[in-house]
Amino acid sequence: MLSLRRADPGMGYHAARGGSLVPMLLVLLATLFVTALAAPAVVRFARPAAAPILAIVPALATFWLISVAPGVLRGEPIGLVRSWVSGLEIEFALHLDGLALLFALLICGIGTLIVLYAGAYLGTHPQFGRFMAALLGFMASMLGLVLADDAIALFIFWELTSITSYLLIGFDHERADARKAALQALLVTGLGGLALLAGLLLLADAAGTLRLSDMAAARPDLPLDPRAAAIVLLILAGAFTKSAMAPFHFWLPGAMEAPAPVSAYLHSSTMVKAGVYLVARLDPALCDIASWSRLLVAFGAATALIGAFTASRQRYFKRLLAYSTVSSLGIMVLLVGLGAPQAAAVYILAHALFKGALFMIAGVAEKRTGRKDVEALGDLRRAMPWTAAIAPAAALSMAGVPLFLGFAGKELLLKAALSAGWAAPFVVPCVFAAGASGVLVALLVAWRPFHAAPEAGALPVAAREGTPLLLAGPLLLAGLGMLAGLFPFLGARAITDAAALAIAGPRGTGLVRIDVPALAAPGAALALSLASLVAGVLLYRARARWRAIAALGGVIDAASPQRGYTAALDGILRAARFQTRLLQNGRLRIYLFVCLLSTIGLVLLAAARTGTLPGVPADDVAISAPDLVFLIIAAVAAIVATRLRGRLSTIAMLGGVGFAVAMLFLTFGAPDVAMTQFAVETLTVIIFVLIFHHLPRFAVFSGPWVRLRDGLLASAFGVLMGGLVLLVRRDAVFPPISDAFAARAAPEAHGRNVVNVILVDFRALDTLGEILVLAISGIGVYTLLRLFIRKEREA
Amino acid sequence: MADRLLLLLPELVLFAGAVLVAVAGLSPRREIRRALPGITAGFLLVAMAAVAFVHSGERAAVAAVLTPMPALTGWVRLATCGIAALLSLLTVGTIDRRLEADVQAGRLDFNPLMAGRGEFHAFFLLSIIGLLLCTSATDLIWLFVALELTSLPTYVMVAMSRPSRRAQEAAMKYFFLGALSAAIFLYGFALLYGATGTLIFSEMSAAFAAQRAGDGIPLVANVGLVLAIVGIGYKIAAVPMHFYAADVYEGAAAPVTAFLGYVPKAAGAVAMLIVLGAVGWEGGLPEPVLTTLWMSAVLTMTLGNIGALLQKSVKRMLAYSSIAHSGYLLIGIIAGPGLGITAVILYLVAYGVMNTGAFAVLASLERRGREIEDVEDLAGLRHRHPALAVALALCAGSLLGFPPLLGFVGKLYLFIAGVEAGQVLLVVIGAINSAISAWYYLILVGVPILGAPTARSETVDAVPSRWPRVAAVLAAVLVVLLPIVAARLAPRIDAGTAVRAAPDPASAAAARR
Repeated sequence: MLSLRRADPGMGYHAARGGSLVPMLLVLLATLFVTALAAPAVVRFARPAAAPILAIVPALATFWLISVAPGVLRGEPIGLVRSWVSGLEIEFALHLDGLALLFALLICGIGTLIVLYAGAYLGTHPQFGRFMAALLGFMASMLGLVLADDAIALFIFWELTSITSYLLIGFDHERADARKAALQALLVTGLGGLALLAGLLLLADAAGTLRLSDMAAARPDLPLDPRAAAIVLLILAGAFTKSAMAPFHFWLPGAMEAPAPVSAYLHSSTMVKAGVYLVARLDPALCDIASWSRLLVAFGAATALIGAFTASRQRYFKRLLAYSTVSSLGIMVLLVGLGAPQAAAVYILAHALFKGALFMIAGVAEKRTGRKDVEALGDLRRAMPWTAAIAPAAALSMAGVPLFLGFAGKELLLKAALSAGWAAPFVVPCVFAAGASGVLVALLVAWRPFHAAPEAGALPVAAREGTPLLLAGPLLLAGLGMLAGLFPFLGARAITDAAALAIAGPRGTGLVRIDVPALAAPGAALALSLASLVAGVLLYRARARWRAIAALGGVIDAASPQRGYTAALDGILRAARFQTRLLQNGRLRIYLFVCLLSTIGLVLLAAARTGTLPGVPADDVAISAPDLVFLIIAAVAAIVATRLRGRLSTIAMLGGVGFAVAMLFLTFGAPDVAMTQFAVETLTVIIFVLIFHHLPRFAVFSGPWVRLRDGLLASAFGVLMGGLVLLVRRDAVFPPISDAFAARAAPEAHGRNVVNVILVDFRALDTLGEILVLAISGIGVYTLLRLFIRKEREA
Repeated sequence: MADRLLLLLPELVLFAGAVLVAVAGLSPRREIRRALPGITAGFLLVAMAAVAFVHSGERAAVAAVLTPMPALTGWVRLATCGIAALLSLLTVGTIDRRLEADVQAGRLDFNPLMAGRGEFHAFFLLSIIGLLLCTSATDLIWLFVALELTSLPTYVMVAMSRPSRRAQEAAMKYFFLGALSAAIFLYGFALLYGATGTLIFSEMSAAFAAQRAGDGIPLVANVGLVLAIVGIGYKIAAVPMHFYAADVYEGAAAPVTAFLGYVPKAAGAVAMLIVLGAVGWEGGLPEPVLTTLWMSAVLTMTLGNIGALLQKSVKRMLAYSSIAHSGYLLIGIIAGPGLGITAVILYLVAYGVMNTGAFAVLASLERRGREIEDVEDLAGLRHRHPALAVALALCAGSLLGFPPLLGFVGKLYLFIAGVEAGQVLLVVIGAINSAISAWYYLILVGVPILGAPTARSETVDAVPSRWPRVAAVLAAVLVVLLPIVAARLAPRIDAGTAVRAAPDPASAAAARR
C-alpha cells in the first residue's frame, strides 16, 4: 500500500456547502463523453445542422463555467471526491480552482468555436461523424485532465487525450504521412505518459498523498527525498513530450498533417498545453527542488530559442505556426520555472486566443486558395476582405503591439526574464529572439498573403472568401484578445489572477501584481519589447537574406531529435530482426542449447553470489567396486549412444544407461526405487522401439565443431549437476533414510529382509501405486502394439 | 482428511466431468458429441460454484488453514473456472472438424477409434484440474504433480488441435522443451529437499528462517531455488525458457493457443509464488534468487516486445506479447506479499480474459476453411463483422494497458507493487516496454477499425459456429466492466495474500492427515 496520509475530507473544498454544485463537475464530464459517443448518430440524422447542434453542449459547459467563475475567483474551488479503488486509496477526485478554470474555459470556449468551424470545414466529409466523436472525446478527456485532482485520474485522462488526438491526427488515414505522423505523436506522448505515471507514483509515495491539491503541503520535505531527482526527471519527461519541448519538439510539426480544426484546437490552445498545465499544477509541490526550476528554465528558454529560430526559416502556414507554437510553449514553461505565475497565466490566455485564431485563418486561407506557401500568395484582401481584416487583429496580439493582450503577456514575460537573477543573461536573449520571431511569423501569416503584393512570377490564385461560420471563430477569438487587452477589468484580469494564485499555491502571498498602466511604464522591459517589434519587422523586410543565412542552421536538423527517434525505431527493429534470426529460428536444438547454457550460467551466478564454494570432502564419498562397475557401464553406454548411427542401437544404449543407474539405486539401499526404474526403463525402450521402428534412419549428422560444442555443453551440464549432488551430500542436515529403515525393520515390522520390509510394509502404499502405474503403462503398450499390428495387416 | 477433500471439491467435480466427456466423446450420436464443449463449460461453472461454496462462510477459515496462500486457492480457482468456461466456448467446432463433417455428409461411418473430441475435452479439464491443484499445494511433490498434470495434457492438445504438420511439430518442440524444464525444476526441488530436509512448505520456511538467523541460506538452497524458478519459468514462457512460445502458439489452433496463454501461465505463476513463499520475502529474497528473477523479468519483457514488433502473423505477435506479459507478471512476483501477490492474481485474471478475447476473435474467423494468419486478413474487419472488430480493438487496447480497460488496472497494480517494493528501475523498464508494445497492439486496434478492406481480407468469413463469437463479445464486455469490480475486489484479495509462514503444529499436523 502506498503510505498515504488520508486527506482531511473538508480540506480545500469550501464550496461543498454549495450542495447541488458538487456533482455538476461529474455531470459536465459525463455529458461531454456521452455527446462524443452520440456524435456519429447526430451527424447521420442531422447532417447539415449537426455541428451547430453538437456545439450546444460545449457552449452550455462554457456558460456553466462562467456562472461558477465568481465563486472560484473568490478563492472557493469546487471539489468532488468519489471513492474509486478503495484498496489503493485511489479516489476519483475533481477540483476546479483558478488554474483549472482558465484551462477549462479555453477548452470549452474555444472548443465550441472549433466544433462550429469544423462543421463548416469538414462537414461534407463522409467520415465527419467519426471526426466529431474523436473531437468531442478529446475535449472531454482534456477537460478531465485539467479537472482531475487525483494522480491516477490525471494519468488516465492524459492517456485518453493521447489516443483521441491519435485518431484526430490520423483522420486522413488513407494518407501514409498522416498515419506516420499520428503514430509518431502517439509514441512520443505515450512514452512520456508512462514516464509521467512512474513519476506521479513516486511523487505520491514521497508526498504521502495521491491528491494533487494536497501535494503542495509536502513541499518542504521533497528536496530531502532521495527520489527527488527521479521524480523530477520522470514528470518532466511526461510534460516535455506532451508539450513538444526541445528535444522532443519534432513530433508537433509532423502532427500538422491533421485537418485545420485539429491543428487549431489541439496544437495551439489545448493538448500541447497539457504539459504546461502539469508543470504549473505541480510547481507548488516541487519548486523547492533546485533541479526542477533549473530544468524548467533551461529547457523552456532553449525551446523558445530553437522554436523561434526554426520558425523564422519556414514559409508554409502551418509550419510557421507550429514552430512558433513550440517557441511559445517554451516560454510558458520558462515562466513557471522563473516563478512568475501572473506572467504565465496571462501568456497562456493570450497565446490561446491569438494562436487559435491564426490557425483557423490559416486553415481558411489554405482551403480557399489551395496553397500552403505564404510567399506564393498576395493581395488576397480583394478576394477575401473579411479574412484579411480579421487576420491582423489576431496577429497584432501575437506581435505584442500595445493595447492587445499579447502586449501585456510580453511585457510581463520580459520583466520576469530581466529579474531572473543568475539565469537572466541566458534567458533574456532567448526571450528577445522568441519575440522577434513571433513578430516575423505574425507578419508572414497575417500580412504577407493578404496585404502585400504577390511575388513576381507567382501563379495566379483563384481565391474565395470563407463562409461566415469559418470566420466566426477567428473573429471572436481575435476580438476577445483585443477586448482583454483594452479592458482587462472585464474578466480577463480576474481569471488570470486566480490562475496565477493557483500556480503560486501556498507561496501566493508574495505574489506581485502588476497593473496594465504600470506595464506601459517606460523601462528596460518596454524598451526590449519595442526593440523586438522593430527587429521582427526588419527580419520580415530582409527575410530572403535571413533565410539564406539561417539555412546554415540546417546543421541543427542533421543532429535533430527526429533522427534520434528514427534511429531508435530502426535500432529496435534491427534488434528484433537479429534476435529472431539468431535465437528464434525454429530449431529445437538451438532452443535446448540456449536453455541449458543459461541454466548453467544462472546456477554459476547463484553459486558465485552465495560466495561459498569450498571443496567436497573426498572421504565422505565411498565407492565400492560394484558401484564402480555400474558407473563405468553407464558412462560407456552414454558415450557409445552418442557415437552410434542407428536409432535402435542408440535406444538400446540409453536403456543400458538406465539399467546401470537402477543397479546403483539397488546397491545404495533403495530397492523400491530401483524396481520402479527397471520397469520404467523396460517400458520406455519398448515404446521407443515401437515408434522408431516406423521412422527412417538418421540421415543428417552434425559436423565435428557442432558436436564438440554440444558435447562440451552436455559435459558442463553433467559436471554441474553431479557437483550439486555432492554439495547436498556435504550440506545434508539429516541422516540418510536407509539407516532409519535398517534400524526399524526388525522391531517395528518383524522382518529381517530390509528390502522386503520397505516394499511391503514401510512403503506399501507407494508399492501399490507403482504397481498400478506399471499396469496402466502395460495396457498402454499393449494397445499401441495392437494398433500397429492391425495397421500393418491393413497395409 | 475430510476437510482436505472438501477443499478439493471443485477438482473432484471437474474430474467427474473429465471422465464423463472422455466417454461421451465415443458416443455414436452426433448430438452428444456436439454437446461436449457445452458439457465441459457446464462442469466448469459447477466447479466455480463449488469454489465459491468451499470458500464461503465457516468453510473459508478451514480452507485457509489447509493452503499455503489462501488468496491463491480461492481467487485463482474461481477465476480459472470462469475463464476456462469461456475458453471451452472457443473450442466449439474446432476438434475433429473434418471428421465430423465427413460423418455428417455420409462419406464416412463414425468410428470411435478415430474420434478425438472426447479425449480433447477430457484433457482440457485435466489440465484445469492441474492448475487448481497447484493453488493448494502444501508440499513439493504435490506441486510437481500438479504442475505436470497441468502441462502433460496440453502437449497432446496442441498435437490434436488441428490436422496440420505445424501442429505436430509444435507439439514435439513443446513436449521436449517441457520435459527439459520439468527435469530442471524437479532437480531444483530435490536440492531444496536436500537443503532443508523436508518437502513440506511450512516446515521448509521454518528451516529457511533458522538458516537466515544462522549462517545464511546455503548454496544448495539458493541453487535449488534458482533451478526451480528457471524450470517453472517455462510454464510462464519466461526467458530463458521462452523459445517454444512463438512456434507452439503459431502451430496450435487458436482455441488451444488461447488455452496455452492462460492455463500453464497461471500454474507457473502460482507455483513460483508458492515456492518463493517457502523462503519468504520478508528480509528480502535471497540475492541470487532476486537477481535471477530480475534479469528474467527484464529480458522477458524486452525480448517479448521486441520480438512482437516484426511479426506479420497475428498469432505469433500474440505469442510474443504473451512472453512480454510474463515479464510484467514477474514484477509482481518479485514484489511479493500484500500488493505484489494481489497484483499477480489480478493480472492473471486480466490477462486471461483479454488474451482469450483476442484469440476468440481469431477463432471466429477463417479463410476458405483455414485459420487466418496475417494481420492483413483483419483489414477493414469493421465493415463485415463490426462486433468482432470492436472486441479485438478492446482486447488489444487492454493488452496494451490502456486506461481505463482491464489490462490497465492489472498493470497499474503491478507497477505500484513494484514501486512499493523498491523496484523502481524494474517498473521504469516495464513502462518503457509498455510503450514499445503500443506499436504492435495499435496495429491490432487500427487495422480492423481504420483499415480499408483488401482483396485478401474480403475472403475472410466467420466460422459456422457462433460460440467463438459469443466468447469474443463476452470477453470484450468483461474487459470494459471488470475494472469496476476489480477495484472493489482488490482489498478482499489482499486480505488473503499473507504467506502462512509458520502454522501452529496442531493445524499443520491436521493438514497432513
